[in-house]
Amino acid sequence: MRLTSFSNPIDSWLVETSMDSSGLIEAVACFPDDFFAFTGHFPHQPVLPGASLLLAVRLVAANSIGKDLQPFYVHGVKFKRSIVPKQKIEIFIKISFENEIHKLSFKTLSGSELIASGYIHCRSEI
Amino acid sequence: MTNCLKVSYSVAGLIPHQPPALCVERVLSLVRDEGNESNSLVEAFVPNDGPYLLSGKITPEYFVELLAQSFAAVQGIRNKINKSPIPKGMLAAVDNLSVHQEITPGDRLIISLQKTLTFGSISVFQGTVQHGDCVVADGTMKIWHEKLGERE
Repeated sequence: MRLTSFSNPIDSWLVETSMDSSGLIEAVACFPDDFFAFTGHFPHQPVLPGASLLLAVRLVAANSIGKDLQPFYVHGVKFKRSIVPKQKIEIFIKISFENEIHKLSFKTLSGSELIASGYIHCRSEI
Repeated sequence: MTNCLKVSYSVAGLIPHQPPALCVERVLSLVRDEGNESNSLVEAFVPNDGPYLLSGKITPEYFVELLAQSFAAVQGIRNKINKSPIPKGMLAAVDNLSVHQEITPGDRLIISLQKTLTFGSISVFQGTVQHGDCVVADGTMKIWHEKLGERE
């Protein structure tokens, strides 16, 4: 059985996304029961790995600006709560571009609760 | 006198992670006295499948999970030595994580860990990932434990 993963089309887990005139990206994501990252993490108690959340944030940003972003530096990341299958989360990303580096500042919420926040620095691949 | 205990202990049963989420293979050495400058060492092999493979390449986010699981494995073996149960844990923070070069499936990685601070249920450690002589990634992580194992 083929599981849903980040290799699938992004809309398998990204419900909606928009970018306003200031460049703020707002997205809603929901990882299905059969999302690959849940397999083995953990048996009988699936929780999205923090690393997978960072990957999702990066892919949302890349999809919004149409560039292949490759992270090389992560800082100030805090994980406050877990994400479970079928939980809707909101992702907010601000991107600044300086010295050929895309700097992502993000936070993710579930309702009013902060799930995670932090900064990811990326270079874009041509 | 060295306080570094050389082991070659499979992580199976030390941490709750299972394939394909499981990133680490075995604990190679363990610092017995946490005040010592020696680092605990963990071995991993870059997978050719799993949630961090995208378009045939390992995503840099893999290093976050690799470091977190390495720490959990080292703590797991301490718990086993102390006959303590595996505590619940969660990655709480990542800081100054730098990725220096790409890795490829099959690469053998050595993760070196040094715990820098423990306060209450929080442990902070510095981790370095090497492929051969090259440092491919390094950073600081903070882990929350439901219950820490006892000090030796």
